[in-house]
Amino acid sequence: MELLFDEAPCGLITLNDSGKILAINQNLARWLNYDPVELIGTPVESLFTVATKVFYSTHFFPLLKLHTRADEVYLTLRTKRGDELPVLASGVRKDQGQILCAFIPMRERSKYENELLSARRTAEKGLRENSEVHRVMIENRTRELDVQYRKVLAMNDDLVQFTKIISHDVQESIRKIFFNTDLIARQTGTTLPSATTRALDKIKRATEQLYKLFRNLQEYLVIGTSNEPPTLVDLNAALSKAREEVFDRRGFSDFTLTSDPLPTVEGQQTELEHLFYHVLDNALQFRDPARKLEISVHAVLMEVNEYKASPDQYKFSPHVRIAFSDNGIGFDRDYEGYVFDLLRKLDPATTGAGMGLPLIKKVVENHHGSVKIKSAPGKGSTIVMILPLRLPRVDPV
Amino acid sequence: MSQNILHRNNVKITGKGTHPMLFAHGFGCDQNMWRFITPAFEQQYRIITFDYVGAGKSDVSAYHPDRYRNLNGYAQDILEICEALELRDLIVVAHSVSSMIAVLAALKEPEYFSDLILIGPSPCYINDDGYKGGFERKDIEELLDTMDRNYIGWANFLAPAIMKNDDRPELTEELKESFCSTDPTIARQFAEATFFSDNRNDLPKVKIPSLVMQCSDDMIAPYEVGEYVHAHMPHSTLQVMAATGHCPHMSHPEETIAIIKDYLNSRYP
Repeated sequence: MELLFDEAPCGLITLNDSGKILAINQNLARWLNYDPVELIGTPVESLFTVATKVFYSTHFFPLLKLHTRADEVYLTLRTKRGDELPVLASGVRKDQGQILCAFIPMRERSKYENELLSARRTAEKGLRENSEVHRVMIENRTRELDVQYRKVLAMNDDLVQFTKIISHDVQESIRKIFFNTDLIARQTGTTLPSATTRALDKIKRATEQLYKLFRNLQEYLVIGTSNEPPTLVDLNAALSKAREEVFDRRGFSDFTLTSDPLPTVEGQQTELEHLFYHVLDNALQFRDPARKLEISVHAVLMEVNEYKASPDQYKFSPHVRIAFSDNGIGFDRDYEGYVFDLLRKLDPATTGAGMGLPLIKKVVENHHGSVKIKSAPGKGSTIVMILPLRLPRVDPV
Repeated sequence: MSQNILHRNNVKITGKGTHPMLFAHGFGCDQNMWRFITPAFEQQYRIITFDYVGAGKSDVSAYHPDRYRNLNGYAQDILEICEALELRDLIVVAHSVSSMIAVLAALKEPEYFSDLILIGPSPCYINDDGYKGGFERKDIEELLDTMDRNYIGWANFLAPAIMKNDDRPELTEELKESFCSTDPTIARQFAEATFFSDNRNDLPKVKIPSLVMQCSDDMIAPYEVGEYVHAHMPHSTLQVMAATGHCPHMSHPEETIAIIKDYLNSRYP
């Protein structure tokens, strides 16, 4: 039996469950220029090249451990002198945890495989180079389409909402004006001016409402239509400017704002400043009167898929994830999607027009980013936006 | 949608607890590699195991080379599973390259995660200007070459099984179980995505607590690398194991279980 072990025309080795060598046959030891006794108790990895060590840990060993056998695996052994010996390896793991491996040298076979592989790689390279031009062309086209498709989707969304508002809210106001004017007309010359005064009051309010509505809608619709060219915008400066604007417009400064250093992103400066203004303004509107408003801004750079609307298109590029957290009144998480719709207000008593979050969403999407809000009643809200550092563009072929 | 994801990633859910624990396998294998570990946590936790797209019994038709040439594509698998199962306060146990995949996932959606338990993590495998990752570029190229050669080997090996060779039942069994027998082209791309990755800049961004489990004498993720991860990742704990090699969850399951339990007991007394 021992004779068979030593004289078999292949390399044989037995290992314990942690990969330590228990026995090695004469053939294998001789091929590797070792005396068998020097190898007993050493880890089998010491006989491998670096690449084979990795392959052994990630494939050969798991196969033996989980499946109790591994067959016809190509490995490269390293001799004591440092020469390489390509072998075909098979192994079995016995119930007692003992592993038996056989190695068949394949120097000649390996030369043949080398040639096959190199021929295949040459063929593949040719194919790749040829298809590379097509790939770039198609990719450019797809990106172009993706950008356009998203614009169309967003425009359509606006249109649907605009129509809704025109057909309901605006007409309602106009109806009031009409009705009250009519009332005055019918009362002219007959009774006291008190009812007339009230009617005139109503006209005034309705007209005011109409005016506000149109102004807000205008502000919303104008986003993305300006001809301001994109530049590199320092978001730290944009945030400071937004903070000043909150003070100028709202006369409010009783809050703390702490921010991580923010990156520079490509975009329309005016819109991005506008974006930050509305984020701060939103926190201010929904602050908890019982505590001082605290807003903290956290920014993390990461790679995100550029394709936002096309399924199964992937290109990971640098983005920044900015989270604005406040300690305001918050709201139930069921409304996390709803609040981005135009003129939706969770609390009719608040002074805002229900335009802030839709504006934020529109600017972010116009910059090829995405936004969501996380909220908890009594704790506050976090607006999370992901913006690309550079706007997607089409490379020349 | 959520059913699709669960099918796509061959998601398996066991356990009697409510606190979710997701086990993410490494390069070269599939969720089977956790089978010595998960039973120890079934009483207390909700156990989720899965195969990345392209591995094990996942839906290979969902494999998209552009997505999975980047570890962020794999991170998206984890995030989509979290979304499909509405997971919160998730403990992720990740082996090898899955560690950085879990880190990327946790940066994208921090609110899903409570802890990262990283077994043999490495943010960068290739040595670079004072950083010791353990490999030279040529070692990795040689590994890819070894994988190419085993592509030939595996194609020959799997052929009889595909032909449903009834006189060799063990081959049919092999196909049915398909342990670790990922599609060779996908395995090679996973190797490239893994061994050419560099996530050193992502470590300091991690805000949630983590445990770094470092084996003694691990040539894929050497001790210096574990120390580097611990030094650069805030809120991390480093635990050096007596276990040797790169797969302690297969070679030394008892120690692996004990360390994870100790960590979780200290976090959730």
